[in-house]
Amino acid sequence: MKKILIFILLVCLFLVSAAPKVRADNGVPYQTFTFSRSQRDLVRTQDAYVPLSLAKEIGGHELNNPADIAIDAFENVFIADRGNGRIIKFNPEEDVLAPEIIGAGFLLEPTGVAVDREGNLYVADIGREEAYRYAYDGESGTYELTVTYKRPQDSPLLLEDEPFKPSKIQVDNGGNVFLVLSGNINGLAQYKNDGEFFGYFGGNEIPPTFRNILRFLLFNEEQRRKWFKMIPSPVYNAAVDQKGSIITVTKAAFGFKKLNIGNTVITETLFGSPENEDVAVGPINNVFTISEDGFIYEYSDEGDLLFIFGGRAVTSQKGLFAKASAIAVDSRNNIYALDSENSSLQIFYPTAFADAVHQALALYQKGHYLESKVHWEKVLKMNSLFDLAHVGLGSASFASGDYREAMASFRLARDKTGYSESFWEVRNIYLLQNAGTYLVVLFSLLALYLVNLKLKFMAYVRRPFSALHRRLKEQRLYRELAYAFTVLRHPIDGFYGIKREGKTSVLSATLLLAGIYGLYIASLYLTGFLFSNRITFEINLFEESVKVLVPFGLFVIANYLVCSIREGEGRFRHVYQASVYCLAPLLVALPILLLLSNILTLNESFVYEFGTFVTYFVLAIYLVLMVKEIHNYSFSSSIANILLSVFTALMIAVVVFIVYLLLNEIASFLINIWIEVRSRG
Amino acid sequence: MAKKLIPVLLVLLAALLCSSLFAATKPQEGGDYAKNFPYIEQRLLSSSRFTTKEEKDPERYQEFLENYTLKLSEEEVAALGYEKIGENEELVLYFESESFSVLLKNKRTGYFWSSNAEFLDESETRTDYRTGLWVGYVITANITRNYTTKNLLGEKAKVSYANLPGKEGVRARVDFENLGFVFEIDLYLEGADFVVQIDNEKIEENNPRYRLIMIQVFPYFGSARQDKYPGYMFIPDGSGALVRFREPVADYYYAKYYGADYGYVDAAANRELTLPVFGMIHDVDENGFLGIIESGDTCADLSANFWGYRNNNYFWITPLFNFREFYTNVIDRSESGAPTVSEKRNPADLKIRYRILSGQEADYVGMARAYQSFLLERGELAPQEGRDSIPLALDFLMAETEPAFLFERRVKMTTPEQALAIYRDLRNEGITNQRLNFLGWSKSGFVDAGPYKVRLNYSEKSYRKLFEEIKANGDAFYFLVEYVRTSKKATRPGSADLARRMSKTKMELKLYRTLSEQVSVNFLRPEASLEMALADRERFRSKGIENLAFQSLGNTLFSHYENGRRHHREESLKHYLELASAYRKSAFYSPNAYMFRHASEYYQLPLYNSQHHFFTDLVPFLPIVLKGFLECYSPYLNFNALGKEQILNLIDFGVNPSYIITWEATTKLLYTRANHYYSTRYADFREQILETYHYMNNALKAVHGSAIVAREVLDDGVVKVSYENGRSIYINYSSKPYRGEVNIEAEDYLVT
Repeated sequence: MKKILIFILLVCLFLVSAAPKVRADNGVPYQTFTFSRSQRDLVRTQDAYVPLSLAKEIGGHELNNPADIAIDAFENVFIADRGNGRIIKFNPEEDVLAPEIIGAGFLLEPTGVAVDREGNLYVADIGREEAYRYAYDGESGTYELTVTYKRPQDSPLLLEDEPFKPSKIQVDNGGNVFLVLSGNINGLAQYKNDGEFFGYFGGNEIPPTFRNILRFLLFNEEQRRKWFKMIPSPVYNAAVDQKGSIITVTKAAFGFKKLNIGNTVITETLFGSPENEDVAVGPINNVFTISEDGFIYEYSDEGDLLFIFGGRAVTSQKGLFAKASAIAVDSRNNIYALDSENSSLQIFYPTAFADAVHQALALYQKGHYLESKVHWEKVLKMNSLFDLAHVGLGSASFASGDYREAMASFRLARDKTGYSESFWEVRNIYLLQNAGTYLVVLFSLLALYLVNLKLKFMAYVRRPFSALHRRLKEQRLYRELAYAFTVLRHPIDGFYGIKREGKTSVLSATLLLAGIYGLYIASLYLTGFLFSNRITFEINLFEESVKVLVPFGLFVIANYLVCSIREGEGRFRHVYQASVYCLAPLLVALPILLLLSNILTLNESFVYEFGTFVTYFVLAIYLVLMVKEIHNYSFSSSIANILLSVFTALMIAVVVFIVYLLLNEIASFLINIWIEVRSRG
Repeated sequence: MAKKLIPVLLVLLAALLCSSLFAATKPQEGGDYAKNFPYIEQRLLSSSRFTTKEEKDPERYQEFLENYTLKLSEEEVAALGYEKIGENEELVLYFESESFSVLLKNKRTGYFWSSNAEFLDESETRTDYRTGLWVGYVITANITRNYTTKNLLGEKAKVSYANLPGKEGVRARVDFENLGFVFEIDLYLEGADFVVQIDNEKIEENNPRYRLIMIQVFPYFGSARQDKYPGYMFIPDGSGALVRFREPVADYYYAKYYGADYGYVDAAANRELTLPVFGMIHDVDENGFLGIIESGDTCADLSANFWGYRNNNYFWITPLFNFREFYTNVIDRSESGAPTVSEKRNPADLKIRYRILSGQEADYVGMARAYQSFLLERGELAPQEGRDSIPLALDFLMAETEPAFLFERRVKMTTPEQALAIYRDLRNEGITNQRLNFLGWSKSGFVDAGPYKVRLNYSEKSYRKLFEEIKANGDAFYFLVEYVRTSKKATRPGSADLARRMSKTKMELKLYRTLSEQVSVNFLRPEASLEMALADRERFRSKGIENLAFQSLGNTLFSHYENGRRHHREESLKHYLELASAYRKSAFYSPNAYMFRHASEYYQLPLYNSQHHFFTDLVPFLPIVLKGFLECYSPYLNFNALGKEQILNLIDFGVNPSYIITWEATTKLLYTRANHYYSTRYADFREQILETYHYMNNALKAVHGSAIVAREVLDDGVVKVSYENGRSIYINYSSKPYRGEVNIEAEDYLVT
């Protein structure tokens, strides 16, 4: 997961310039991406938005470093025209735009603008270090400055020497006003509508990484702040969604955070730009963010990434940004975005595809799964690989009782929760239907068991198998292989037998290792979808060998080397054979786990997890016993030797890597000489 | 009293029932999802995504005629220092040698074209406005930056000239004494054309201190001051773009013809110029010209400049010719080094033909018709026979490979039998004119696996059956081949087949297929491409395959380094043309103009331009050039996100529909490299294909094989396209019905 996040950071810059040319173009200068769970990557999708216009002036009023934009319930657009110290209000419906100018001559550097449901205007002015409420008079259509949101006086929450720089402003449905204070780490400053300072809201916390926890334990707050700069990142921008939740974005954090009124985080995105400038909410509570380099991200209410598009303007195409600064969305999902460097306003409108997705999503989010089905199907016709549509279809099938179909849809989207729930239903129905059969089978088995106690007829059933076993036992190899089960039952005796009695050979150990490796590979393919994180196409012979066989081999070598200088008795072949036979528990555990993974749902996942734990535990114990027996150590020195072996194995790997690097350097050096000689000569 | 209330109650009840019923059906229809605002549509229809209405403001037009039109008598021309050097029925050519300027008089309209920036302010005294020859060079001792001289007089260049025997014009000899460059430039008239020609072999570079890198001839020819001219400039970007002379634009446009040259750069171009032309209209329906780069197109860039960029008051558009280009002289493994230019000059001769347009010809349709007739004169295009229905192109993705435990596994997407079933199904539904293209037919795989080995994925027998039926019905089929691009995944080429950049490093283009999956595309040496294609000819023929569809042969052209020699892309072009002519007429994906001669189908025609903010209009220049001569097809409509708008767009531009199709569910492609084709299943598209095809066919069958002669915007989003056979198609993009000279329903067309 982290890897992909870093990729987003690094690669976003290249998206525009290096992406393969779209021949199926819809006349847009970018490609639209969505996140695919099934491919664990951002993948292409149909274009969702088309750039409509790019304006550098609004009805004759030229923009200068516009910083923020807001749209009210009547589709009026408000732009905080920072460089000109004014708010521009206009209605895009008018043929000839006759914008209204608010606050000219008074505002210095308005950087934030917001409107409430009654049409009152809120402005944050970073130049005047204050924020204002302009009351709207619906009848005369005029604005009057009524409230000033000032720096709180004598408040313990804001010290004398701390700056007060309101850069953005938001107002929630209850009229609470939130100021984003530039550089303030405590969060948004919350005011009552009448201007009374209330406290802070939605501040970021220091992420609980291992390093941070360690510092918390070892140092006091002052030291942490001074020495490690351990302070939370300041909230950079905010928005209020339809339900009144507050959404915040922070520089260097991915995507957005959604908080409820109680100041707890309810949604946090995994994917997003770390350079977000602004965030806005659409009509179906879809969240839009815009990053400084011009990428617009759209998320669903639940934080699923729907679309990424836009980008940095290398050449001046419509739809790209030199330095994006703000975003707003009207009630039809039209996007209004500002570019502070080019001083321009761009409008994007949603395509037929985006409309279909929004339509389906609107119903889906309300829980109308069945009604949403038609729309998801429409989406899938346009993009068969759109994961969210598969989830939507799965939910619809689930709601209508089509559990098998739901399973298939959820599986395509790799949605484990949905899959697990549908599977639970399918299994339940199966069990109910076949309960009679199972009871009959169970009772007859019980009856047979009881009869067997008396008549011992099983002895006759077993006889041919025992005979075969005896016959085969004459074969040495069979004996050696079957010895795995002896080791399994009596590990101490078993390892003793390997060392002293030559019960096994290198050949048998190698065959056994191959068998266990085969079983492991089979388990990769056959483990139930719910308990496997692997996608079949990712499974590759070479990779798996490197992952499994190489560490095993390194351990064997390291263990032999370590023990031979620490008075261990084991010879190399003993160590090898015993290490292989030590894996014998897997012969039993893997098939059981495989079976469990295919019949359990996530509800019972603890059974599977417990089984896995027991397996590892047993393996660990066998390992200790193995080392103890083979080298004739005490218990504690066995453990010490195992740790030493692991360490040595790591060291061997490191040395090999360093040697590789050095050789590479030498090769590089020689090649460079050759290239230079050639280019000069 | 109570009795009287009963009917009222009944009515109320009924109303309640009705409303509840209505409410119950509503969400299922999806009707509660509101359509976008009308003003958004209005803005869209008048935006640069469409052609805008032609309007001349009478007052401003009068000002143009009075103050910004050159009106010169013979004496006045002579007084300015010009000498008449050529005349025919159409044009008169005057030449002023000191600053190397020309004046061109259109006899039909009396309009003067000047190679200088005219109507300058007194403060605008820069010499480049009045210099007809700009030369770029580097200093050999320190090749890090280039210099351009835009001042002939200051460079003490000597210009002498003599009549050209047999032609209406002169041969001028320009000698830059300081720099040591000598050019022989022919200027002459040919019908309504003014031709400028420079023979590469006769260019002299006498001073070893300097190396020539670039030349521009008559850069300000036809320049237009500010917003004074009622016209526009034309840029052949994508399908075609106009920049109307309306407002200042603090920007410029610069692009290489025929896309990026990967011998020099390692990124794809985001601007596509597939036709070697440029144009200027000074006065719509009165005066304009189309510049055609007849020779030297492979080393030409297009430079369009606008009023408002760095105190520039003119719109001017001009090609420039690169004789040498910068590349990095790589000195280490990380491919760093200093920029340099090669010693060898690019081999192309230069020839620009300014075709003067007058009267009704003077608009973008007239330009397209002018280029069309130019191509016809040279046999690059040939008239096409009309049929009673338009063709539908289907690209069948047969199979692709995905990674597996060992090596790769084949994912079957469409068998020949299934392709046949689809073909028959569509024929039964009335689509009797089809082009079938087979993708992923080779055992090598499909995406990034080219050049493909000629080994079929399915049995030859099943293919043969398919071929026979297609041929019997008079339809055509093509096998998609890739002889230019390759990658590490491809097994066929050896390392000696790969092309190298000018810097001697391996030619490579890094692409992101998804965000984290980076793919390196390599290129084959043009000779290797040719060899492989020639070797495959028999292999294909033995399997009954005679027609190929070339994926990047028509749209990729690069210079390359090989065995101590640097080959210009002009030389690569020769190999590619030889390759194309080795086969019958083929299908090409988005080909450049030089491949038209060998093309029978033009797939994936660009429908848009690159949508720069300074473009004011989208025009179907490319479709107009080809309509009636070369069959054009849309990009895959599977990925049309715009719905009906794009279908109407195709009807407007006269472009045929095209789809990519698989029989199996697209989800099977999920883990293959072809997963960017995210929606392909026939079952999902059947209805849409039938509906779209018949809808389009009903309009376009009336004009199949006929050329477009005029295109007029009646209102925002309402277009009339007139064809040579007398038929017209009206298209209404708007969601409101159009009532005017004809009545057109909302989002619909009308054929008259």
